[in-house]
Amino acid sequence: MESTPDEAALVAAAKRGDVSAYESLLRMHQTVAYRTAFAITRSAEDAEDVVQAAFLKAHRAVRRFRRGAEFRPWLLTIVANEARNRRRTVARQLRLVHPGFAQAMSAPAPSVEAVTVEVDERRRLLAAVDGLGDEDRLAVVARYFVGLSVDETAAVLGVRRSAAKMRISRALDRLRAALGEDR
Amino acid sequence: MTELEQRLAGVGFPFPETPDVVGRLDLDAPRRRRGPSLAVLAAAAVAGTTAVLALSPSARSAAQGWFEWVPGVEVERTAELRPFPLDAAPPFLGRQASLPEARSELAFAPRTPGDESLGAPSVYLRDDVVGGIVTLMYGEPASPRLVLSQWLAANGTAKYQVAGQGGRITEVRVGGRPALWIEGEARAVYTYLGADRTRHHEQLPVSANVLLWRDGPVALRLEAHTGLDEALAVAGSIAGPISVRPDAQQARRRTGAPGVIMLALDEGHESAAGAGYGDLRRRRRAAPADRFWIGSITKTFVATVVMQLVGEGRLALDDPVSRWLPGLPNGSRIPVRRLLDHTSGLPDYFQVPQVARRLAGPRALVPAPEIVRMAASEPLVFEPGSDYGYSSTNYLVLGEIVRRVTGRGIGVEIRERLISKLGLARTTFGRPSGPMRGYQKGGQPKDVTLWTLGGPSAAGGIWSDARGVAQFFSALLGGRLLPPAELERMLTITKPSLMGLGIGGEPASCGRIAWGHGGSTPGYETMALASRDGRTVVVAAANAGGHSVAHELFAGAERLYCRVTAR
Repeated sequence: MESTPDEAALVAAAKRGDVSAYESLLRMHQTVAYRTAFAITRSAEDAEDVVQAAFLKAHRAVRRFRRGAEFRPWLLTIVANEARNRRRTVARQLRLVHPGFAQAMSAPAPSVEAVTVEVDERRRLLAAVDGLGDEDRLAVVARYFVGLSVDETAAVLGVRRSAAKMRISRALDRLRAALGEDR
Repeated sequence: MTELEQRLAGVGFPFPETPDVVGRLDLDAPRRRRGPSLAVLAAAAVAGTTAVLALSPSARSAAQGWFEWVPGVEVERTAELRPFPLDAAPPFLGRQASLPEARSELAFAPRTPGDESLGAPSVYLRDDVVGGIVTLMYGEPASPRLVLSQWLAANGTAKYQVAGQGGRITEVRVGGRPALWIEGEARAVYTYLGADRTRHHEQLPVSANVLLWRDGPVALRLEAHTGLDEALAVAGSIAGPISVRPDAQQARRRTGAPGVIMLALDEGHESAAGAGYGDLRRRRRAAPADRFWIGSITKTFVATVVMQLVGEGRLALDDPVSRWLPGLPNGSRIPVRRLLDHTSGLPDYFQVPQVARRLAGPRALVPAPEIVRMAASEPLVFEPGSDYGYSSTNYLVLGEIVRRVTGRGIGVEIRERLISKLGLARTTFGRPSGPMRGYQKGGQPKDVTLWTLGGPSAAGGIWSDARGVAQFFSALLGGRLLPPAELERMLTITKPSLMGLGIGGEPASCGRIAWGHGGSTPGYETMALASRDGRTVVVAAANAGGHSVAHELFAGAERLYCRVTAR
């Protein structure tokens, strides 16, 4: 994916310190950034804080952005780092301090929607994704739900492209197993 | 793309709506948003001129540079004050309010000096920052002698710049807590998290003397045209224990639940709040005494009963399940403790379709032994002890074991050993009459109060008010329910579960460890968090079920826990 000419011009202006160019650039990627943050933090509120902090950090760093590189993966790397820092404690708390929550996320919880889960294919798929381990789930959510490219998924996972591909394929295998659909 | 990939790409994951973060960025930070605090300016106006005090070389803070003595307050000594942009905008102190009004709107209980001779203060309230800021002005309104401002310390930082030639900073103590006394020419920059969730910076000149300290979660600033002794006397008279006021309204907004109840128990002091509705049809407000389904928090009660039996020598954690329930598939390979921390590998019965189907709907009744039989005849999810997998089946099995050990059902044991013993007046095994109604979120919230998930069980049969839950955790962690060895074992985190026995323990966002459990049932989400010694407990409940409700409620409970334990 090449940067569009518009984007390249905005990046150049932002590097010169043009705040409104930088803001336009951010607006182009705000939704993807927010969804990526949400995929990692799993909290609307945390995701919002994360994106705000990441955008500020990116602003300070934009002068060092390499001309000709793609802006979105660079931005998503910053967002993902910020989100991971925030998630580090919260995620395990949710799993441990609130096992009921983990249950709700990982599989049919004792909730109305979950108890009737088997009638709903989409919910079943979402529940299976929720039931994946953190790394597998993030790979799937980033690649297919947020709709990132493999390179961008790698940036979000903080790994190389080859490792990201492996992780995505491993996650898909586990998902198939969880759904009882062997290849 | 494979078929699975296509299905995933087309699933339409329900992401929350993207907020306009860019629109709220402050890229020229710190950009001025508001004028200087009126409190400070009002105080300055009284003085007429800046108080200039001799620089005392003996002052501990005579050295130039930054130092931090009061958490959240940084002081920098400089040779001279850097240029300070004057602002034509009116100083901002908030709107005038009464003290009761302030009490009901702030996220904390405001402190007032105990000295009656000060007279009644003029009260100003700001609600544009998280938690609010209250300012009490004593003396003539036009020229107050004392100006006391308070806000949530976690939400704001203060930087003071004090000029080297005319100022002095002294480290003092107010009621044993570190405090700073700043005399002379100074300037302050306050940073607050605004109610719009962006940071606001406010710069202001200071000319009165300032005493800064923290009491629990609250930061206090006393601007005084008095000497240190008088300021300390006033500060010392500000009465103690601060109880944080739970922000149930905020949690209700974020969870989107019809009603939310939050309660904090700290050193015996209780502070509770309800927001929204406990019953939508009757338009009854949610009240702190409302009862709700605590769901899986029941598991901590059950684990406590089991550990009591262990303490009594009637049951051993290493007993294989088959010792008590012969014939249960895989029972000989699963020791009791693996049920307690979800490492047994028994499949969760909510994931077994033929069981789940029978649990759906109002008033479903399925005997626990039958559920256990159906779930346990499924293959193990993993080898016992090799992994962690939260499964309510574990607790149904524990309930059956308790029945074999004591000859009585788990409900009776919970009632006698825990509920009656602690005098929990509004805690019951099974649904009480007149609870907060439970709703399933959707276009039109659906009342699902009558759902039972098969009937009151060891996996989640308890209903309670928030106080009952808090009292239970306080008693458990305070050592009033278990012998020390059993409590210690319960609170020991082991692999692979990384939880204790029937209870989890993890650092909250503030780094302090919270112990507790959550509950998710049709119509209700509940969370209990407690300090290791049980002196602080936070309970939050919402009368709507669902992942997002649970997540936001948890975040709210965690924030409250962090605020209460900030000392």
